[in-house]
Amino acid sequence: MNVIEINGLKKRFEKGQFCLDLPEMQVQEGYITGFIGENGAGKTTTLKLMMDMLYPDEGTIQILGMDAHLQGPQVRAQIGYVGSTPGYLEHATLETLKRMHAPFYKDWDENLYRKFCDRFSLDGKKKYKDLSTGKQKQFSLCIALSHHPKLLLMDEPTANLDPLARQEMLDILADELQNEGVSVFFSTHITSDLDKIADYVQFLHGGRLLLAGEKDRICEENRVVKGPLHLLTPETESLFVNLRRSEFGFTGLTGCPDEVFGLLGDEAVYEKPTVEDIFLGYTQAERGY
Amino acid sequence: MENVKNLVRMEGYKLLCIRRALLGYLVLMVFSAFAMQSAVFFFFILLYLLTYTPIAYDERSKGDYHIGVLPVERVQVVQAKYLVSLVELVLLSLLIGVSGSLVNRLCEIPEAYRISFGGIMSLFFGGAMFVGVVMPCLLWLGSIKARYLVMAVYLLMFAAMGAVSYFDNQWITRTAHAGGVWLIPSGLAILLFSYAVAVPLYRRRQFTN
Repeated sequence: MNVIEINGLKKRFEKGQFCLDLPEMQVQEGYITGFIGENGAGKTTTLKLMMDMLYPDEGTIQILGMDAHLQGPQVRAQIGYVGSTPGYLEHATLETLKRMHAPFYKDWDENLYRKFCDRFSLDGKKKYKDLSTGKQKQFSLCIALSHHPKLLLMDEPTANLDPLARQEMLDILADELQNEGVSVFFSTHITSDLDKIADYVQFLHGGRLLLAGEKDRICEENRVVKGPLHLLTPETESLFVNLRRSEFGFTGLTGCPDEVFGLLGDEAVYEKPTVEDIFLGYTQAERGY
Repeated sequence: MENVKNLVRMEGYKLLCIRRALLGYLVLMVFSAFAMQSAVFFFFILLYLLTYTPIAYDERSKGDYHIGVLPVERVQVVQAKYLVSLVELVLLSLLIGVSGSLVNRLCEIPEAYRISFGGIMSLFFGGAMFVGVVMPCLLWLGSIKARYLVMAVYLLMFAAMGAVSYFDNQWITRTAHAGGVWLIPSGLAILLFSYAVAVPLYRRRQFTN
């Protein structure tokens, strides 16, 4: 089953000449899906459309089988949302913020909230503005998870975090998925996070979905090929998604490694790509590199 | 209704967060109650701050995103804003009334300058008119886009009062004193009409930035 289903979605912004165009997009239930794209690709816009903060010009978004626009409050009751800027009252204490937030959710679990606070060492008496960026994000996650959401939506949750805080955040996501079966959809441009925990990835570029699917399968189907320049011919070049040349040779991403191997043989080196290699490869190809 | 109550409570917390900006004016308003004209001045300054500042605070700290992700209907957000405004209006009017009657008992204030029952009614009506015009603009456009409009309404109001006072410096006081209980339902009707306008405007609003 899909937790998110997008059909024929279009959202235009006249001033910026930007158009988000997602004819079809699905997010699988019970998995962690990474939503990757460069700045301005449309990640936050997509998330805002899901939360009904923006309205689509065309198309529909179904979340957990409900229409995100027509059944907004019912949908949001099932979602834990961690925004890039959560918008909490900065001068309020964490306890006050929790008291403000909790009554909106029928399934609010005070014990779970306390458990998360203990895990993140969050002191309820502290003011939100006095927390470090990492702690602020952890508090947002704490709030988002304490009402047993079925879906966790996150907008750049690991941005501006140090490696340790980032790892803690990723650990929590993995735990939640394992223990509670929460489906996670998060936008990021930190590709190493996706390498670590994502099951599925969606690549967004210029408001369009470039590539989507199971991360391991995408990585298996593609290869980074390195070799001397003389191996490049018009026939071989056409098999690469992108190519970078230097005086030492070439590096390129290919989506048909068997055919490339058939042409280049052992003279070239073949490596399994990371999510970043794939993201850069396809994005650069779109930009005409 | 439960959600509206929770949203009202949230507005209350917000006001607590910005209390430092409001407290000085509140004290000034209470002590200005020896004369109708000075009370009117501080009443409207305070009302402006109470209406504009929480929405501006929300926009600056992305608090409107926070409200946007809660499982509430947009109409409930508007209901909460209007309820809070109504309570603020009533409390401010009562505060001026109480402090005015105390001053009247303790000091010899000329009749024309005294804070009267009619004056309080007029204040409530004027405040309802101000909130009724400003609130739909703020909810529709947000505090940043609507600030010039709000400022224009505010300046227009004071300019009109200044112009009237120039020709007849007793007119405002006289008119204010002439107010009656009928101004309360009239003020409420203005708020109700304004609410009916604000709901579709806020429903149309999209949080782009």
